[in-house]
Amino acid sequence: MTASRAAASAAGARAEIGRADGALIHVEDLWHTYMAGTPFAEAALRGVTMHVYPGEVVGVIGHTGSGKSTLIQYLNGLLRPARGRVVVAGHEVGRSNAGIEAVRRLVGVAFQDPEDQVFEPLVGDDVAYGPRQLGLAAEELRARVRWAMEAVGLPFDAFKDRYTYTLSGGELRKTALAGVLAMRPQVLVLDEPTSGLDPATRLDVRERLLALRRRDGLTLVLVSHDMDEIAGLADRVYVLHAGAVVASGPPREVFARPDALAPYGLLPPFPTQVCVRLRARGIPVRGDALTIEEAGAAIAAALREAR
Amino acid sequence: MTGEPLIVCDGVEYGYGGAGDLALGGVSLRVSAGEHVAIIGPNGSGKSTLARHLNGLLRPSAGAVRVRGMDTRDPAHTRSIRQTVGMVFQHPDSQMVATVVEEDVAFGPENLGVPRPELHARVREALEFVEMWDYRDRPPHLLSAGQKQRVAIAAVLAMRPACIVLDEATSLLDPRGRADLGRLVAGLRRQGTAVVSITHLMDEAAAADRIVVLARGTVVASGPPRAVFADAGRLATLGLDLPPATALAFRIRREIPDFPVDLMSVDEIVDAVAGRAAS
Amino acid sequence: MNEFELLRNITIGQYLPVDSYLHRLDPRAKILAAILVIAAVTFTPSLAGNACLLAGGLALVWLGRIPLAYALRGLLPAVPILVFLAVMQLVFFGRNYDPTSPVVFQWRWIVVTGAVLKLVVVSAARFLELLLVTSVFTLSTKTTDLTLGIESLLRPFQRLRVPAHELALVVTIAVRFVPTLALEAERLMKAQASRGARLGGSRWRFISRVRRSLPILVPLVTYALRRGEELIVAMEARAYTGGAGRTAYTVLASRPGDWLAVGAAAVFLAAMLLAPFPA
Repeated sequence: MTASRAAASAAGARAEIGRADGALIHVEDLWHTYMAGTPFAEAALRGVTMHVYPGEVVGVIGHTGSGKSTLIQYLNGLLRPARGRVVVAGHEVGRSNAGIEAVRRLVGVAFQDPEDQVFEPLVGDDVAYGPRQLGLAAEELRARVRWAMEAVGLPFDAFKDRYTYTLSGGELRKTALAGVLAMRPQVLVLDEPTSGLDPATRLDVRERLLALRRRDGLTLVLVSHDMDEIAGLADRVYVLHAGAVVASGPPREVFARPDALAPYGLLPPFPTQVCVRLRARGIPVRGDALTIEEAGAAIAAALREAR
Repeated sequence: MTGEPLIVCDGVEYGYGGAGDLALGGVSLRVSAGEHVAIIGPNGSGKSTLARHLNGLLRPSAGAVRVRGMDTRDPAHTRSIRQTVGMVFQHPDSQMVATVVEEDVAFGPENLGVPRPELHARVREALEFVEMWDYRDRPPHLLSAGQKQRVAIAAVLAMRPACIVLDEATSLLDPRGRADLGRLVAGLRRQGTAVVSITHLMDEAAAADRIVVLARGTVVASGPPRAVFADAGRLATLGLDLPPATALAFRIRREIPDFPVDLMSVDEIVDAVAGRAAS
Repeated sequence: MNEFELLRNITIGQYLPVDSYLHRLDPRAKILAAILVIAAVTFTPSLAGNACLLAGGLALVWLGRIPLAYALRGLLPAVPILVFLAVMQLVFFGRNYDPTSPVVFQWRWIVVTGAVLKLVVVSAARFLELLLVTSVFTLSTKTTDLTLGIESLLRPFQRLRVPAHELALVVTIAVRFVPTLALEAERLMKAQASRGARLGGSRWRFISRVRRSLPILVPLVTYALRRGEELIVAMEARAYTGGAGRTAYTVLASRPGDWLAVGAAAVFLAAMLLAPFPA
């Protein structure tokens, strides 16, 4: 069943190739096999096609093992395509090292576990690691680090000399984010940006990401298994399953479609679930509510109507 | 000591040394046999410190913890306390000792000196309970995070504990891994094992018999989930969430003043709305 | 084709689950036989002898039913080291190494004699033989069997205060964490590359690869210490108090046929030592 679906989606994906003028990131018919040529070989991507346009927020949804983390590594040239293409702002990933370095500057990736990403003892040094590689002058470097730390809500003067191992989980996550932002990327790819954070910090990180997009025109790619989080943020989503894109489009459309998620064991966001169930019981609420606010307003209106 | 609950914490105080700042400032808590208690609280509230007192990994500097009447400060009881109260930790990568699943599950009962034929029976039973028997000869790095946590639960179960403490055991898992663990917890309770889960996921806490809210090392609220979540204002000031169903109910109440807010699942909210629309 | 896949190119340390004579062999017999074969490699300086040893190594690959291409691919990461060693030997030994040997090549101050040439070939062959033997050993031996074998072989020395159980546990934990740390190293290198660490250039630029792995050492050690600390707590929680009073899940049982392998290895070693290979 999975294989035939994957094949069908691959056919659909091929049809999309070449119709994405103006996209910042083109991923076209991308395949990946881990440990190719060994008895442990395992296909992770089977013909993925996806595009990211400047200034948009794209969500990539799927379970562990759906190919999400493999896909992320192609977006900034950590992996080079053996089959398929990845092009970022005109730079083809895989051809030359110069192209790869350009791509890594354009696309910043914040990985899931900040422990892997923060490797200097002091917060300020860690955030400065990336821009230092670019060979910036001291003043410019300091300005960038200050900007990046303030952008994620770590006051520069209070945090620059803090030891990274004394940070709380939330502060460590923010340090990792600042380290990527300090490279001044055009696209920020975030792998499970708020997992393991407490509710207050989660909200704070989310607000700051949206502010960066608003103020600085940053393009965001959010990779997550948390539907509720993606629903409230993304302009467009791709649903990944067994290495293939099985649904894509605006979250409102994708989440309200019963066949887009359920066959892959994925649940729509909570508010959508409630509204879909209510409609099935004959209560006239919109079926595409994405947030508590939208669902609550729709339900209250329907209840007032019923009186 | 008949009639005393399984675990009793009496005015437990604990500090990590340094400037008189206590991680726990006099916590009293009881866990009865077969009960499911969820402990929630913001980061740094002392949740994990409290969890480590429940099987004597930490010992109180004032107050006392008794497990089946055994004081955790008495080293003579250490082994039987650890056998009675098992723990599963947050990081899936730092709980497996052995290089394959079944050897790892055997590690606990081996330490208890369980004889060989019974050892095999226990390992098989525990692995079948968490549905990992087919993976018994896999090395840990070929398991997903969720599978590793299931193995960690089996490893504790093979010691036949009366209570399992889950210390943020689901926080690094994806929704499927969380759902699997949730089902396991329900299964444990059916067979009479008590569960204490430390979590910041309100959906998970909602499944407990009782929620204890911790803030700055003290218990600030305690009771059945419905009662605790109905006090949304207090949770918000602590920086804690509501389960989505309760949050939606509160949102509806803003416009429909008599709408109930003690709702915790999709089913409950759908029934409440449908019931009102019909009447 | 990937500059970061550390774990995936290393065949040493990975068990290959197929059924073969070597896979079924009692690990104690296999350890002893491997020691004898390694001794044969160590004490054979001649070209003809090393040709025999290489053939023997390939025979072991066949005996273990390991795909030849897979076994050879495991040798690939060693090629840069071999080339480096060979160049060093060719350039720096010159006439000092066996001055009586005839000169085959001379260019400015670089002198290559017949003896140096032979030395280069023999040391490369030995290196490959050792790699073949150890990778066949690990590909055909589960780590549990390895540590049980070590523990069992060391047990007679316990009276001399050799901590057999503790040593075996140390080996187990080390082996268990090798893949975990390799994956972590991969993640760290990727994170650094993502933040603009210089590219290593082509995959043959050995020096730049080494230089690139230096900055990950500190965070990798930090990671290992953190996981280690958590592992200690997890082991303590599972009632571990040392080797005394423990029972064992798996007990090794050898068949007489297993000791044939040791005998064969001993005969092989004797043959290599006594054979009249031309010097």
